Amino acid sequence: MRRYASALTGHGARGLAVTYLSLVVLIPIAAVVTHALGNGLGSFWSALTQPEALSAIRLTLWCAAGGALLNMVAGTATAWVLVRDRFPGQSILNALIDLPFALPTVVAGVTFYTLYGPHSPFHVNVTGTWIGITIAITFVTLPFSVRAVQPILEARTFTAEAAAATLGASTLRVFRTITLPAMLPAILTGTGLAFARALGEYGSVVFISNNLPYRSEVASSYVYSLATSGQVDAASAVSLGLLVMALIVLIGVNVAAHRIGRSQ
Amino acid sequence: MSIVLKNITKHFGPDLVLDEVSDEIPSGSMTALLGPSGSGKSTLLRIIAGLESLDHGTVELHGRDVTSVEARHRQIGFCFQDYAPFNQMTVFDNVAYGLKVRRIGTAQRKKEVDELLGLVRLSDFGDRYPRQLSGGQRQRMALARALAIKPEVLLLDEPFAALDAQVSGELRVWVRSLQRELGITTILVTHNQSEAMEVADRIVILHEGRIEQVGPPDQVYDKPSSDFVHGFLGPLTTWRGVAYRPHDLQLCDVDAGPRARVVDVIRLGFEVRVVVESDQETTWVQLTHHEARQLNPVVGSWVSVRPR
Repeated sequence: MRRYASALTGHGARGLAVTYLSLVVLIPIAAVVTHALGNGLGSFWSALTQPEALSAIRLTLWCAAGGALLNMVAGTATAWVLVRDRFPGQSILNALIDLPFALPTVVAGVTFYTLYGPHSPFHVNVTGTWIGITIAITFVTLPFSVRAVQPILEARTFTAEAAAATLGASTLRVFRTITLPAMLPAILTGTGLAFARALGEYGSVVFISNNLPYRSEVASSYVYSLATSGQVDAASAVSLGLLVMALIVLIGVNVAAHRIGRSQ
Repeated sequence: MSIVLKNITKHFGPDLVLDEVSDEIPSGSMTALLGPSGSGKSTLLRIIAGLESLDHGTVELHGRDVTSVEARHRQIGFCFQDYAPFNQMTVFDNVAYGLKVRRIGTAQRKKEVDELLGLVRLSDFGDRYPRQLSGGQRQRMALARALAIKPEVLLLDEPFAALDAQVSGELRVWVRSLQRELGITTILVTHNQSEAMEVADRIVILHEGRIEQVGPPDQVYDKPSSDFVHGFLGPLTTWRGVAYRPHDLQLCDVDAGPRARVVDVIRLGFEVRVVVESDQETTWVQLTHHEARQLNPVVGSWVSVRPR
């Protein structure tokens, strides 16, 4: 069995994985990098530091951070309720969590525009504001936070809480000293993934943001306008900037989660 | 501290898991709750600890009704089957947890934890994390952690099930002597009859949520009160329609009684298993190595079988 598995890994599967990753991930990224740096570091830097680019990136970072933090709290609470609580319709709610992944982001974008746009049935118009953008981002990235934390809370595999209770700890103390530390790496990972994903969010944001340069234009939408007006190299430069930021966050979060969870 | 269980009944949804279970566990005893999986033994243990609710019935500790007392106020040491380590804490902090909850000062805490680590032979492992321990070491850490709160009752849920045979064997002997030394009333849940026989001085046999029999190991083994207990406590074989333990039968010369033909001889170190076939059934006789050498059964030869 072992020999069979290692033969498969050694030849077939490993080759397939490397080819697949190259085609789907590495080659496109290499193309972006080539375009972005094709005219030298100087022009890369100037494309990235255009006032409009800086403004779009700043707005994107703030909204992504806001959405990720919101999901860190609300997503963890949702995961808690889904695993620890029992109520009618629970399994339906659990299935709905994946909806933001499955739903085309444009559909989400149009929905938010109808709900919170100029024709809002609640007379709440957040178009062109950071609030509207953050709502869209929070929706799209919710599954990351919930799904990362959920498995940790499964009681069958997590008897440490009961053990702490038999040792005299109160419910609050059990949560603070046992549950939360055990969840922390997963919470960090989920938040990091949500943030990284939010940096490039386009479809759900583009309607509600109104794309007003210097005011409500997010980075992805700025990249789109650059690319469609023929400035492909500048578009690639901003893209590479986003890519590097996403990578830094992902690596940072992974290192932190690993440090915390090292002993787990 | 004695434990009195009265009419404990528990359903999981529509399933009856415990059906009017009553028992009195004497102070200082080592009782094994023995039964196949699904017999309700682990649920009963969790009910005693206050980790599981019950439909009706009462749990008394030393004459005090604790049925509605929360687990954290019962002062019961509980060792979980998976040891439930606090993975983000060192071994020292794991053992110190219950003392910290009780606001024992740092110096006193250190002294007590060091003693406990010595007791479970983990003195050099205080700085490690549970992940860095072997299964047996993790088990001993869990035991030290449970003992730290100076419980008057110790509950062990399948304590040796996840260990390999050799470590499990060593730990059984050690836990038994530790329990005698501390005199702490202990209940151990197991599905392994030899483990129960070896460790406990009192065995409670559970089957489908009901107590089948209670008694010292010898008694339940030699005088089983039901076919279930008889079959569950050790292997059975039939000779001329009657159920016997294989070591309660012996092989004799062919003309000493009803005939059977030897069809297989299996040597398992100390014991030798001889399979014989008569016109009625296939029977299995267990001989010691010594007996087997004297009788020297050969496959294909004719013998007779007699109860010892």
